[in-house]
Amino acid sequence: MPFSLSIIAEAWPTFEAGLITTAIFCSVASVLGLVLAVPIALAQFSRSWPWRVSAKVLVEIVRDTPFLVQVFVIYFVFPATGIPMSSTVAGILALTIHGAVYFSESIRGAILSVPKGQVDAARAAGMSYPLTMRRIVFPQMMGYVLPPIGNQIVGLIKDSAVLSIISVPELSMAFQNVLGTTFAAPEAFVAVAVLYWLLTSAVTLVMSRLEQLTPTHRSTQEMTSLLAKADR
Amino acid sequence: MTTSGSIIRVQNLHKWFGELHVLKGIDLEVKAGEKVCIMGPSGSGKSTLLRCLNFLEEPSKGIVFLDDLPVGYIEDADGKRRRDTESNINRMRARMGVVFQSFNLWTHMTASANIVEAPIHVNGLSRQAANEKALSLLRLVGLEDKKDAYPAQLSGGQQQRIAIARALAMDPEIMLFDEPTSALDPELVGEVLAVMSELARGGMTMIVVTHDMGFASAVADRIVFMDHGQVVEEGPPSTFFQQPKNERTIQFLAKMTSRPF
Ligand SMILES: Nc1ncnc2c1ncn2[C@@H]1O[C@H](COP(=O)(O)OP(=O)(O)OP(=O)(O)O)[C@@H](O)[C@H]1O
Ligand SMILES: [Mg+2]
Repeated sequence: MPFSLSIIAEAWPTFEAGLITTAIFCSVASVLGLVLAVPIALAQFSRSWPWRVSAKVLVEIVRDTPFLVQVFVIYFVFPATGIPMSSTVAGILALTIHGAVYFSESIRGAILSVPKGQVDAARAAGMSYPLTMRRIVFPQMMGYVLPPIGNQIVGLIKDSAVLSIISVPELSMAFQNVLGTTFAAPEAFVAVAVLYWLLTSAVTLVMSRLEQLTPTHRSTQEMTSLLAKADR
Repeated sequence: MTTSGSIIRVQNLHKWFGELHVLKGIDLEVKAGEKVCIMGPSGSGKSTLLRCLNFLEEPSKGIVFLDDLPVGYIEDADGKRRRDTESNINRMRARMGVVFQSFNLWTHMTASANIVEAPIHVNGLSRQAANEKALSLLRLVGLEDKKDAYPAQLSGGQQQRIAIARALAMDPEIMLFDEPTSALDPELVGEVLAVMSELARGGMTMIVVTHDMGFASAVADRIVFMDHGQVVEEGPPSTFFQQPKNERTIQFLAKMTSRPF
């Protein structure tokens, strides 16, 4: 059977809609997830134990249960307690929580990678905790935090396929529909793979650009160029 | 309020790390302008004591006074003490400069950015005023030409001199040094001690944890010897080095002087 572009062209509107839905869901969930991830990570360093414990419990629950189960819980259990839930809201909420927890683990790891002496020096100089975080810890951890966060956004894009189970019309749902109408044409497999690949590559590209802007990257670059000059 | 005339007064200070009793009732007074060197074997609690002075470490019991004001606590009318507000604690910390064994310069900032950081963001100094101040401090530590260098481009001795300049930029009333030369190659120790001696001559109040007997003899008004979380002996350098009384001091000094350098 020859590879036929016309099959893809015919199915394109379905694919396009799915691609856009996946992109929107994952973008919104990534942004909201990152915003939530910072307090979840910081709570685990809190001096008061209720913050530490609740953050840890949330992280463990999300990490130790399959994403599919989380989606079901949000989609079916919430309405049962009287909170109305559409598949869109449930889908974005599930992705956001999932992302937030995984991002928070990367942020926590990156915070730990900043030597404690850096914080001691800031606190000793009278800098407040928020100021220390903003001026000393966050800039230094950017180099450590961006690569894993990039990987996790890629993971989020792949995990979002699970949302087809609650009828979110995302890319893998579109793929299933195309499979049905084209009688499982191999072209559909190729098309969906390429589209996922495009999405994840875009993320990887953006993240590596961001990485080049981080202060750690800049200071090492400047140092390397200076050392090179000194060598000459 | 009692006016004791001392800038730092430590009363019956205890510190536990879990089961580990690290400080066992330290009493210490330091007068304005005084230079005190703290010596003692590894693990005796010198760093912990220094960190308790500016509340980087919270004392388990006892209290530290800075200019007769309790550090980190406020006392209620009924004499009960509770933790001071964060902003008061920060303000108190800003009055004491700290220099660490491992320099702890902020690696993402240049030397001059390290120096102006706290003056601008804590004291609200204008950038221009802070830069001028940084320049004069860089001159003081002999590193004007390194103002745009990142810490990774500096030798250990240079990093420590920048760290001293950074601490001085907050106009501290007292400087705390925790083994400032222990992480340095021997040939770099001198340049850091020179800056510290200069500072001492200028009248700065200093508490210095050090094993450098030359520096301690030359600069200290008083040596405090710690062992197992207690002050076991103190006195002026002449008596301390020449006629130590305590058995543990004698052993320690014997070990120090027989150490090959
Ligand atoms: N944050 C901490 N948690 C638990 N134990 C600690 C902590 N900080 C210090 N200790 C312990 O307290 C004891 C005293 O440590 P400290 O660093 O004050 O000693 P030191 O006199 O400065 O030693 P050194 O000369 O090696 O620097 C040591 O046994 C150390 O392991
Ligand atoms: Mg120490």
